[in-house]
Amino acid sequence: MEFSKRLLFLLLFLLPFWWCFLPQKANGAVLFNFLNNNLTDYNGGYCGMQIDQIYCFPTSGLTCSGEVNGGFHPYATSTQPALSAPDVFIKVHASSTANIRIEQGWFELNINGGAQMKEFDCYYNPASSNDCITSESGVLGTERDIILHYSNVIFDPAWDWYLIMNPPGGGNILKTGANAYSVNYNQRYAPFWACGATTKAEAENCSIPSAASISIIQPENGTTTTNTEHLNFWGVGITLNSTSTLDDGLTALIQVKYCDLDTGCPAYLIDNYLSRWYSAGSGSIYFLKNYELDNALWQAQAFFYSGESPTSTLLASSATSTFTITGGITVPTSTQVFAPACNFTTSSFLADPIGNIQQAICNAASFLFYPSTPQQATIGSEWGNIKTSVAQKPPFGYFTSVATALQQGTTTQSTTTIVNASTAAAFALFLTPWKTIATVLLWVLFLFWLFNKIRKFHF
Amino acid sequence: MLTFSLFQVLYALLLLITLPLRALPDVALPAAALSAIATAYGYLNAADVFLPVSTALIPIFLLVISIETAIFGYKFVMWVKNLFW
Repeated sequence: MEFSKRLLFLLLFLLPFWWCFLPQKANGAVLFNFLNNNLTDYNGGYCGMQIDQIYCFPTSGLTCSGEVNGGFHPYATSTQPALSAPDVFIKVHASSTANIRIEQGWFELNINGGAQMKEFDCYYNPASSNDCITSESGVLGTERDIILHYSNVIFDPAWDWYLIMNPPGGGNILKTGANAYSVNYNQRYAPFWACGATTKAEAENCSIPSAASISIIQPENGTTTTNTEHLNFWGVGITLNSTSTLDDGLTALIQVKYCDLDTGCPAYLIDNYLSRWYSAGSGSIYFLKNYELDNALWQAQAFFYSGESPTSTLLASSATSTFTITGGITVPTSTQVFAPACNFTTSSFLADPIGNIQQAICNAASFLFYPSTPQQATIGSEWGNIKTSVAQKPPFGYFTSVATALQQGTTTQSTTTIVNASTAAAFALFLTPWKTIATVLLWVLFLFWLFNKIRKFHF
Repeated sequence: MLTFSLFQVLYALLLLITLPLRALPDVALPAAALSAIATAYGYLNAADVFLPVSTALIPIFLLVISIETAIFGYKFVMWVKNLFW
């Protein structure tokens, strides 16, 4: 085929993808995460938001409503800051490939059934449209921390405060439904958080108080389990001192390392768990194990980090817990850990030359072909990063956005009512089996359609 | 060691191959599209009381659309190819 025809063919092939080569909006995935530090507002409790999701953990005296799609007051009226509130420093962490600015504003709640619908505005005092206390700080291309400083500003607890990440060009925050909102592509906002600092230096160094402890409460130390009771989850107890708060907005890493003493430690398996906490004092938390444990003598230790990675401050580590798994439990092949077990001999070379040669070959093969635990983590992290970054780029980013929007849509509150709750409850006896039958029928019809589609398809 | 090195080489290659793609800015749907999806879900969730919207209708609809689009794309490519071969 001639070159010109090949070129024409290529152009025709690329024609359906013309839109991929259009200039893309540069504001798509502005990340907006609060630092994983101890951010405390004036009453020690607040709600938090991370990118498209709002995490709302009410504490005493705090009113939260509409955890996912709604808003919430950062303060209870009874605990509002004094009018002589000191300077407020807000420490945020932003990463972006675009220029952004951060401003603050209010967003009126719509808790009581959608009587009012208000769009975001940056007015500090709703009575005065000129009284805007916007604070701007640019983030140019690279990840950085930003300290916003508001001097002699009183944040009215009657309003809901948000930090707004807004690229040049602006945009709208749409609010639909009773308590719903829709964040457009170029704005991210989060409830107002204030670091409990009174100086910029303190704001920059907000951190979790170091007084914390962690312990493994399950499986119990020194026990032998004869069934699957303790195979599926860890129980980890955490104690924070009474004056500190590992609070809502914080995502902390709890890491459990465990190793099989029968095959050799310290070849640790590592389970990482990200956890959010909202109260001081002691508490316990349970995690699903990422690995199923084979019949063996196991040793485990838990670690508690201040941030999301082990590079953050290690706040506490537990005592070693040793326990035995017995009972003839079959570990599924798909989840079996294929760590090499080179246990051919412990004798000297002269006493057992064959065994020593086997041991040497096994050790060499293990070194050459079996990645160590850190190497496995590196591989997983690297490949995961590529997947994550490519998923946000055109054209895949559009599909990712749609998929995300569809997934989030399942939590969208209904804007209309066809059958009210009491009627649905009355007819549940009929509706539940009907929906099951309809679901099965629809899927069977789909499979039938698919079968015919494939059968009649001409390649 | 060898396995890890191999993965590192593959990772480097993948980085190189995806470089043009990763150099592009991130994208996201326009606000109107997201709003439309949210609104549509609002109505669909209301019907979920008596119809298997989330467990059957929407997944099947998306699957059918995906399959038909894939078939159309395949036929289009074959049609273009047959113009020159």
